[in-house]
Amino acid sequence: MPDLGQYAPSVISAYLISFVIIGTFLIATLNKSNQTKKELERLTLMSRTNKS
Amino acid sequence: MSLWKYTNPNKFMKLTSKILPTLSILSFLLVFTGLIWGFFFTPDDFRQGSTVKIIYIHVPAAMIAINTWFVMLVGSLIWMYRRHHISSLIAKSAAPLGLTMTIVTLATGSIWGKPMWGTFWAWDPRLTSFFILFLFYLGYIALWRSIKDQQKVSDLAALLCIVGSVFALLSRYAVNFWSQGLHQGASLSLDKEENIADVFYWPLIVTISGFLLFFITVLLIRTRTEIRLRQISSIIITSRLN
Repeated sequence: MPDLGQYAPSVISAYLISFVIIGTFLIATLNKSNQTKKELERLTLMSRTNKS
Repeated sequence: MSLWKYTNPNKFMKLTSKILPTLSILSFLLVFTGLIWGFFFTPDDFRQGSTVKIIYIHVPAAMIAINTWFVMLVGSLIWMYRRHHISSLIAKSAAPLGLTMTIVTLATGSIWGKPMWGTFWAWDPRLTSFFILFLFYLGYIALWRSIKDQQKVSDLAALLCIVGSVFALLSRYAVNFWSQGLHQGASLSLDKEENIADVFYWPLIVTISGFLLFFITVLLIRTRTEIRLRQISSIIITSRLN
């Protein structure tokens, strides 16, 4: 860990806040993507079954 | 070969499923390398001390925040002139990413500002134009959520995007337009003499490249989700008609 001196709280909090914001956004994006993919697969299968 | 063929949703999905794994790995590697390099292996600035390390998040986030609006503008213009649904969905998908990066920019800028300027916030031209950009992102996302008619909301959102481009442009060039603000000049410039020192420059370039690839990766994932949502609603409508 580098010696951040008197500015350590500012530097570390800037990094932590950024990771939390970007991480939360990324997780939400991936979750929604997975949910939508599963839902589309389910509906496609259902509509095919209904047709046959 | 024409680029327009990728406005076909099936072709877009096929192409993006091929390139997404490589893009994800590359963006992770570049962001990771840039941040480790910048945080652990660069010296303190003679004036700003260790706070200069915030630059490796603040500047890439700010660049993505501003340029996302321009990606949305291109998508909106293509929608208005050629009516390709993908372009409108790309604009819609990019907005939350732009908003996230704007929040990161404002947060890291405030944290950086406190020890350097003595205050978290000042109505400085660049800070203010960025705050207005933040409000435009909120308004744009709210507009998409408030209207169900897809054609109508695509048209209105495209118009709002064109108006908001003025503020995206102001955010980009505010440091050049007004010199009385607290915010320093641009960290990167085509003029080599205006650039930051090489020791900070190269890790910053690596981090910016990583953020750019991260932006493209997330944008493609979100656009694919939007395409699937359209397919879901079309299946539901078809099944109701039958």
